[in-house]
Amino acid sequence: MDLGLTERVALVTASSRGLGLACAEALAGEGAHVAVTGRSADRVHMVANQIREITGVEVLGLPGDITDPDEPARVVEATAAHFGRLDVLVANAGGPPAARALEVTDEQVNEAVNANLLTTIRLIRAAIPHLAASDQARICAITSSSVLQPIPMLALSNLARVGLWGWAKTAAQDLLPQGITLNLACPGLHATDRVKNLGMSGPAGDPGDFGRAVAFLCSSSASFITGTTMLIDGGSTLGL
Amino acid sequence: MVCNRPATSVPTALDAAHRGDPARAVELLLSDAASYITGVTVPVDGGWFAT
Repeated sequence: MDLGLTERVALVTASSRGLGLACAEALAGEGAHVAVTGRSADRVHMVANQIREITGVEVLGLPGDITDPDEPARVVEATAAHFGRLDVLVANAGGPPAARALEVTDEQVNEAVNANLLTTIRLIRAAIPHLAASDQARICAITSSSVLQPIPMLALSNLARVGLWGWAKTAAQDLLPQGITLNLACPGLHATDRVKNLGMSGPAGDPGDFGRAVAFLCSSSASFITGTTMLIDGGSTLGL
Repeated sequence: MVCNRPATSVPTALDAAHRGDPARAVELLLSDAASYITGVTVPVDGGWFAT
């Protein structure tokens, strides 16, 4: 399947490990040049070198904390300046810590909303002027299957990601005139370090497959898919 | 399940070249990358659905 991503430019945030890394690898595997971000400079540059060596595409490493309010605009501008264009934004950020709903503090709620709602809004806001110049403008935000079926021990994640869902569904309509698609990829359990650290167990998906599903949402074939939430959860979400 | 909408019902200008053609979208659901995607509905409707 030709995804039409060759020579496109993609920014994938929080992509030095886990599902973000899988997305960057998948896009690079399809021929897109990618910018990767993460908190650890050593890790970001190592990952950038690995992707470059394996795929042959150009990879830009941008170390930094994407949840810092100034960081989304910085990485968007750095990517566009380096490559001269931006076609794809995969907005990802690390998930908040585990917490039951009645245990969360105000500070924890604010941090979760900042990381998993506001960060994505800031990224999209900054990226729109560049994406509007592309004939294959794609935004995919990584959320969670918890937007459709809350996970009891992840109350902070649940609340922030549902907020993002509501915002993104609205924003997708506003982006139609510019030809920019905006979709949410909603992973269930995947074999990542975060899942292991949270002590979650059960059948888990392959991060590589998740990355390829996101690459599809960013493809030329997905030109008519926008405003959707795509569950990638092995059928574990039971709601309609 | 892939849900598409007739092209004439779409009121916007989203990529007219592919309106109403779900065939390319189906490619993902039939690919090996879809090993962990099941039981889902994927609207291929240019954002037509309001829900």
